[in-house]
Amino acid sequence: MIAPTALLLGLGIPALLAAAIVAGGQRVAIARSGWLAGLALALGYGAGHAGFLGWPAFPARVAEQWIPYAACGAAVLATLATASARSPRWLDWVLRAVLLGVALALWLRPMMAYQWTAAASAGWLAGLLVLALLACLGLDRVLESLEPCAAWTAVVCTFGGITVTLALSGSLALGQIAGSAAAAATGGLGATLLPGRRPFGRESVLVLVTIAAGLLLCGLFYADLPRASALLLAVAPLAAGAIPRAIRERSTLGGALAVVAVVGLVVGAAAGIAFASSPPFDSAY
Amino acid sequence: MRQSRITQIVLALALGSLALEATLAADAYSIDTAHSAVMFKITHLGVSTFHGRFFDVSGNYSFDEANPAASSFEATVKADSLDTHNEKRDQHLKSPDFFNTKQFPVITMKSKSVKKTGDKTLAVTADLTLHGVTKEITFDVKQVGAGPGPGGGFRSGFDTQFTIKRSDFDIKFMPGGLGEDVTVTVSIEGVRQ
Repeated sequence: MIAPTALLLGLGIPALLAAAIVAGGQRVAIARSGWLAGLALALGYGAGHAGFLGWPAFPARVAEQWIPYAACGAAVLATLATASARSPRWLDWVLRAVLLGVALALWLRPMMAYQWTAAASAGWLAGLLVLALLACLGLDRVLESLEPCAAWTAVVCTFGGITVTLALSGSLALGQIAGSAAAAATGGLGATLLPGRRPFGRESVLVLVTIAAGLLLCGLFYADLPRASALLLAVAPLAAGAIPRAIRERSTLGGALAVVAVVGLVVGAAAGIAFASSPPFDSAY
Repeated sequence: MRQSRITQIVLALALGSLALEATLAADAYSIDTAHSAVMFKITHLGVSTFHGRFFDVSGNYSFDEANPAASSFEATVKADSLDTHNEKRDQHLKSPDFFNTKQFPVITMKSKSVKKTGDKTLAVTADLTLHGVTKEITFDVKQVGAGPGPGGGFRSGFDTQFTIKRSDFDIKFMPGGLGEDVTVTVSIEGVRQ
């Protein structure tokens, strides 16, 4: 049972904050406003994390407490990338790799301390870093190809799926903070309905990948998130790229509904696998 | 020359017997996991109390009956050995919401001081490390008994019960559903080494 105050702080505030950033920020950044989506996600998620579990001390004591710090770091990089628009693309990738590499090392520190050998640790870190960068590459293309409303819808569906799946995988706390990310994305989606164009820019993809990766890895390694569910949730927003251009561009509503259908199918499968893998639910517990 | 040799032998025997006496004075025991347990109880929704148990307890202790202050112990509990007789609840309790057993796989307790308080009772101050947080706690220990085991070894056993606040160990999830106070009962049986 979640108290109404916690719901307001963990879900309501993130949604309002993200909507305010996406809607209001565009007035001061008309030329290049794609980074505002990342800022909205990071700050909205951070506010929700603090609302549900409290703002973590620095340095964080447990893996999931690093997620808001990593998200804010990614938002700073998104802002810097926008401010220095003429910086070479390779530098952008180096910065992405550094941030994700550091975040992965922080999230996986307990596994490296108690479970893995040095060789296994290096293998996991390298493999997951490659996967995270591939996710960035794919999302760069997919989200920029979608209308803002459809792009935000894909993000909402993905975080919504992560929320439900994590809650089914043994950790309600991870489900709650994933819900904060979903709420922030919902706020961003709401802001796109206002007049004016508010794209989910390439600069914001790193924030999305960072938050999603942190939640999925904490669920995978520290709760009982099935690997198949984690993989499906990781590729879920990319599935929006499979929607034919004719459907995507027919109308704002049509594009968003197509995204709900395709991404929803993938996250639904992930949640179904988690539900099937979970011990029988006993309402008495 | 011969008198000197005899003196050396006498000295060696004396030192040897002193060492033997010291060994006997503070007997070293290894915790018998099969006959030891750590149990806890906590209120649920403020209406009832539910119990859980950690089955995997290991460690060592030395017990000096004549000089209890010289006694000490060190125990390790595998957090993943938690069992509350409900698979779904166990999954949740082991998750990051509560014991976070993958990130904090062991619970440890190490004595700092032991004082005799009665015929078979001791007051112990120890460092308890739970969920990655270390706190000093003080509790009473009762010696249950001591005697020969079935395989010929000598055994002794101790019981204790103490209460901790879970938020002191940064376990704060579901404050309305679960109580703040956790009563821990420890029963240890050791085999003399």
